[in-house]
Parts: sequence; structure tokens; C-alpha cells
Amino acid sequence: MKRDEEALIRLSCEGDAAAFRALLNLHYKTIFKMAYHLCGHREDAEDITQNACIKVSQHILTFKGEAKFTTWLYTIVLNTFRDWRDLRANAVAKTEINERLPGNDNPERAAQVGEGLRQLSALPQEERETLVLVFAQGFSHKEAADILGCAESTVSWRVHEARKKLGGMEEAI
Amino acid sequence: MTNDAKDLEKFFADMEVPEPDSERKKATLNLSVSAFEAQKSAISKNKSKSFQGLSWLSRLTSQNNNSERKDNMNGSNKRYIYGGLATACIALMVGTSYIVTQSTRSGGGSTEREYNIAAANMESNPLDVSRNSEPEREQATEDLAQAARTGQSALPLPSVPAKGALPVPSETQNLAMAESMYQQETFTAEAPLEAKRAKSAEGFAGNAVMSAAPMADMAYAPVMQVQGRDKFSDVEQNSVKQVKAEPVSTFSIDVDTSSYSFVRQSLDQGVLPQKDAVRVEEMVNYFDYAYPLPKSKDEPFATSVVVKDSPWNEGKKLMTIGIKGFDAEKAAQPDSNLVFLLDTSGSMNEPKKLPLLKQSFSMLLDSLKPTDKVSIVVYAGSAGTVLPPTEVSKKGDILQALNNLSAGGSTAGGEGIRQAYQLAQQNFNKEAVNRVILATDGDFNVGITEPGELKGFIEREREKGIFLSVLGFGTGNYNDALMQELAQNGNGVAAYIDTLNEARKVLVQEAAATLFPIAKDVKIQVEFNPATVSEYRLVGYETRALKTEDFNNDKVDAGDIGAGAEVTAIYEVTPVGAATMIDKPRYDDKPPIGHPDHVETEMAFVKVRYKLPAESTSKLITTTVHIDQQSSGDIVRETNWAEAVAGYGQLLTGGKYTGKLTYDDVLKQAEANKGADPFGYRAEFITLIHKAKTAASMPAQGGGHGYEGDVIYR
Repeated sequence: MKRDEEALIRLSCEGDAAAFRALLNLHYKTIFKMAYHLCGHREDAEDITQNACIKVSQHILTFKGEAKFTTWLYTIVLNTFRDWRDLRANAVAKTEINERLPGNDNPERAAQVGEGLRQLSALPQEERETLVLVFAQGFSHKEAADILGCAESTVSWRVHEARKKLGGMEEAI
Repeated sequence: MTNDAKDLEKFFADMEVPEPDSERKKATLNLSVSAFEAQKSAISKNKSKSFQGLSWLSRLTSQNNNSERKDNMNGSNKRYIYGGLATACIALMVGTSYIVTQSTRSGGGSTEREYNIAAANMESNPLDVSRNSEPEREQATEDLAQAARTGQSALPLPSVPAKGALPVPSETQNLAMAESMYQQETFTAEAPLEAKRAKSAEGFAGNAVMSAAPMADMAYAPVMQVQGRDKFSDVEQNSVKQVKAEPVSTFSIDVDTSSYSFVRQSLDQGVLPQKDAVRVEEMVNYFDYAYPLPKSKDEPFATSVVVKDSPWNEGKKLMTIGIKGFDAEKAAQPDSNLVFLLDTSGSMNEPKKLPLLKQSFSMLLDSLKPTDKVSIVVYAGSAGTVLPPTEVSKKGDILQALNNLSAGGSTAGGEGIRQAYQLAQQNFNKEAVNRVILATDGDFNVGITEPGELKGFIEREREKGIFLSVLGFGTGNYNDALMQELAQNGNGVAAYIDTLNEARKVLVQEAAATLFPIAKDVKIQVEFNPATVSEYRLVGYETRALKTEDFNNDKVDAGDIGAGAEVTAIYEVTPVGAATMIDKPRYDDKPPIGHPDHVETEMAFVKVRYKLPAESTSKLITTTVHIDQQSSGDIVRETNWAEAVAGYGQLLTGGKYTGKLTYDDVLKQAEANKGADPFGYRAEFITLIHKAKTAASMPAQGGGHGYEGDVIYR
């Protein structure tokens, strides 16, 4: 499978639209998942995913493999999310997350999911981004640092800080 | 939560992530591939002029396949499209794709179904592709013209990690997909992308000047403003006309789509829309139709007419007129001088309003050329010029100014609209599209408070060559009637934006149609032949009716048609001999007029009058329609779709003329005629049929009276 994806990337860079579609298809769900974890809302995650995919389309032809593809790709997703967030009035975004928790048939489950999102949203933005990259997307600290554009030690520090805060929240409940 | 990495992984694993919507995914993939193709064509155009020449040639030589264009935008065909590349090059590409296909398959079905379908097609006859690609390439240029708007180079580039950060093979990661990629290959090339965020941070701080608002003159509210209500004017449906009494029907085209979006927004909340919010023609015209394209720019649009049995009433026929505008190449996109006039009143402070507006405009920038000029004026809440005329190439500055906008505060109107037009005037370019784009949730506190005066002002500016488009946002304060009128007076469209997808449709996918008219004052006049038709009824276009004599009067304003846009008008006609709504005249037993044989089969004569954008004298296109004329191919499916939408719209308005038609009938017709639907718009309509069916079992809201439209959402 690894070889296939390599080939897809290479062909995409060369301008093969079919390969490019397949490549996006391969990553679509992961992009969506990352967007969802970052923004905490399904419709918004769909929007972010769409914007990110289009940005990828506009730039993949100039992707030269300097960075690892996934690092490059998820940097775009992260930046798309940040653009999206910046374009929203802050006041709106904050009240929203509380109003727009995911509905679920199982109330206990819904509460659990909602609680997770709430705790995440209470974290400083950079800590949330870091946690999503490391624990939800499974990037190493080094890769997360590349995507976030910071030092590896900063990633480790943020994880440490975020963990402390999440622990505190848990106790407070 | 304990201090254990596993626990944090579990924290995310426990968080249930919803499945992404499959229709949305399909649309996103299609949009992305279009953008990809556009980018590729932009790059190859830079590299070699001969590529460009070829695409032009193919464009000019075969226009006939355009009716199939939409078909080819579906996934499996689209991947063979290489607009602007030489045939040899296509063959080569196919060759390489074929190899990957093989390796992909041997990889154990790791990629998804869609790709394998393509693979199957290729395998069955790989060589056919290069032969078939002739018409497809031609269509690809069409697609590109449309898609190109998404893919211009003036975009801010996403940032990548610092140069030299080499990929490190990673350890244990549960992300199989992301993990499975090339880890050794390093390419040698310059860092292609720059760090956008850094750029926009250093960007614009000093430039966004908020000028102080003159607060005094806006102390009283305009006449039309009613808080918490969405207003629609009271419209009576077109009735059945007797051909002998009124053989001629005249109306202006309508390319607005706001009604559709408003209906969707209402149904998404589980309630039927007010009847007056439903304008059938706008719902029909919301969709793209694969009508045949005109042959050249000199004839800005082509007219096709399809006659078939009416699904609504037995014995009647539907005569569907489809008009398709010439689709200008990206290269031919005129320069733009746009002024955004944005409402920042307190009521805009909702997720579906100001934030969506900001996103919409940042998208619109992608549709423009780097040398186009954009400025921003705000009114209500705060007022003044927040962005002086700025080239689109300085996108960071423009985005910064947008970001800085906030809604709220007291209502201060000021000279918003005059200022906007003044800026447009300052940068007026005779060759360019000069346009003010007003975005609001219904607060027309723009500095001229009397609606009549406002319309007059917009009309005078139109004469000077500055047009107006109106984008509506949100509900609760929405003033549909005034928005329509203003846009009509300003030679522009009125669109209603309720989702990011809608913004992309209006401002990116259809930017050319929205912004660049290819013909103005387009009027349609149909004369029915009393020898073959006894009655007719025009479906929709109630607000666009014209007097018979207005048709030939070039002083009378009518709707515009944009590049690549389609307009559909449907008549339900009763052939002579079939049951009529109106009694047969008692004293009229004369034989049909004249009746030389060739007239006998003629049903109607369709005349379309238009002006080219820069001209003031109109031109005429005519089409003769025969009662027994047959159509085949895509146009049948396309007009069937239009009729399904029209049926639906009429049901929403009470179904006075649709006989026994039910939502289920509409559903059946829509599902059977969905076509390729590359961006999922038609699929969405199908969900709206279900929603209307559910909502119809609950009491309707509002009723038929514009001012009493007592709609309070949420």
C-alpha cells in the first residue's frame, strides 16, 4: 500500500487528475477527523475539509517532496482551520461550541463526547492543536512540531501543560 | 485523566467522530479535481503557448458536444480530461495511470471504489481513451473556464515546515493511511510555498482605516425595516390565459436564485417556507443545465425548446424554453472593480451572517484576477471605508481588513452607499465590470432611507455603468422584496447565502455568471398559435412580467444573463381539442385563422431580445416551436429536471394548477433525472423534497401576506 500511495503522490505532482482524486479520497476521512477534532462541529468540519482539499489541489503541483507528504498535507489542514477560525467573530465561535454539541441517541454517550469537546475547547488553541496532532492523528512530536512550525520541545511542553489542565478539569467535575 | 499517553489517545478514541457526509465528499472531490485541472492548465499555459492554442482550437471547432458536458464532469470520465494538453500527452498520461491502476489493484484493494471503477474502465479499453478524449477535452476547456475561477495563482499559499526539515521515518502510529507513504524519497527543489501566516501577520495592520461615522442623519429607521421578520412581497400566481384573448406572453428573464436558498433554509428548520418566499422560476434556475451552448460570442446565448406531455395535468403539454449563455474563457474574464458594501449592524452577529459573509468574500477573491481591484465599505454598526481600493494580488491585506470587521454597536448608517459608489467611480474603468456588492441580512440603513429614492439612486448609477448585486444572509430580518428590487434596478443578481457551499456556488463556481454579464435586458416574448393552442400558463416569473409593448422598447429594463448561465422558462399549454380551464367562447366558431398547412403544426413563436453589455440597441433571436416536435438526448433529462423543480415549487405555493401531483411524484421525476450532478446540488434538492413532505404535515407558517410574514425562526 505504501508503494501505491507513493505512486499516487508522484503522479499527482505530475498532473494526473485520476491519481490526485484517489489520493484525496484516501485522506479525506482523516482530514475530516482532524478538522472535527479541531473545531468540534460536524458542519464546520465539512467546510474546513472542503477548503483544505481545494487548497491542496491548488498547490500539489508545486509540491516538491521537500517535506513528507503527510506533514505537508496536514499543515495545510491546520492552516485552513486557522484561517477559518480567524474569519469567525470570536464571540460567535465561543458561544457556539456550547450550543452545538453533537446530538446522539444515547444520552450518556452524548454527554461523554460533549464533555470531551468541551474540555478540548477550554484549552488554549495551541495546546488543543498539539493534542489533536499527537494523540488523535498519531503524529510523533517531531512531525507535530514540523506541522505546527515550532520546536519539538515546545510540543512536549504543550502536551505536558494540556495534560495538567485536562486532569484539573476532570477533578473539578 | 491520568498522566498516561494511552489515556489521551483513549480520550480521542472515545470521542465519536461523525461520518463525513458522502454527498459533500463527492462534491468536494469534484471541486478539488476541477481546481487541480485549472491549476495545471494555468501552469502549462505559462510554459507553452502551443498548449493554449490547442485548447482554443478545440473550443472553436466543436461546440456540439456541449450538451454532454455535465455528464463528463462525473467522476469516471473526468479523470481522462486533460484540458489544454496535446493529445499525445494525454495518451502518455493514460499510460501511466494505467500502470498505477495495476499496482493499486495488486495492492489489495487499498484504495476506494471510485478509483477502481476508473481502473475497470481503463482496463477494458485503454486505447479508446485517447480517441474519446477529443470531445472530452473540448468539454474540459469548458470545465476549466468554470473551474479556473477556483484556481488562480494569486492565492495565499499554505505554509510548509521550514526548509530542510527532512522527513523522519516515524515509529508507532496508528494512522495507517498517513503512515504508509514515501519516507525515503527526497526531492530537490526550491521551497515552493511561503509561510502565509507570517505574511498576513506582518501584513496590513496600518491600512485598515475605520473612518468615523456620521451618526446624526440616521436617527430614524427606514420605512421597510421591521425587526425580527422576513419580508416577501405578496405575489399572485400567473393564471391560465386564453390564447384567443391573449396570444402573447412577455416577461424578463430572472437569474436570481435567492428564493431557492431561502426555501432550503426554512425547510432545514423543519418548516414550510412562506408561500411568497417561493418563486418557482428562481428555484428552477438555481440548477445548472446542460443545454446546448451558443456557437460564438456574437450570439451570446442559444435557445432550445422542448415540448412534452405535462406531468401535472392530463391532455396538457409543457413547453420548456432553455437558454444557455456563452461561457467566456478565463482569459477573457474582464477586469473587475468591485466595492463590497457590508452590513455590520448588531443583527449580523450570528454564525450564519457576518462570519459566513467574511468567508464568502474571501472565496470570491479566488475568482478574481490578481489585477482586479476590491474595496470595502461598511455601514450600520460602524461606517466608512475600511479598505481603500486594493489589488487582489494583495490578498493578505484584503483578508486582514475582512478579519477586522465586527458586528454590533448602535446603528450608525452614514453615507455607506454613496461612499461605495464613490469608490467605484474613482476606479471606474470603462472596459471593466464596475460593481457594488451589497451584503446584508435585511438592514438597508445604507444612508438613503427612502426605498424609492434608493432605487432611483441605484438606477442612475447603473446608467453610469456601475452595477449592483445583492447578497442576503441569515433570517429574522430578511427583506426579500427590497433586495430583489435593488438588484433588478442595479442590473445585478440577488442571491441568498445560507451555507458555505452556497457561497462557493454563487461566488466561485458561478462567479462569471454572477459578476460578468454577457447580455443585458434579456426579454422573452412568446406568441401562441390559436390554431393549435387554446390555453397557456407561464410557470413562475410573476414578478418579471412585462407589457407586450415593452418587448420592443429598448428603454425598458430587464434581467441580465451572465457567462455560462442558464435560464429556464416553462409554459403549460392546452392543445386545441383538449379539456380547457376556461369555457370555449360561445360565439367563436370561425375556423382557425388562415390555416395554410405549415402554420397548422406551429404551436408558438419564441422571441428573445437582448442587448450586448456595452450596447443600447437590442438584438433579436427567434425560434419556431411545433406542437409535435420531438427532442432526444440530454435535453430531455435536463428539462425533466427543471419540470420536477417547477412542480415542487408549485406544490410549495399551494398546488393550485398541478392537479393530483404529489411530493412523491416530484421525487420520482427528480430521482430519474438527476444526471451526473458533480457538485451535489441536485442530490440536495432531493433531500428537500423529503423535508417538504415532512414539513407539509405540520401547519404552514406566515401565510400569503408579505408584511404579516410573521416568521420567527428558532
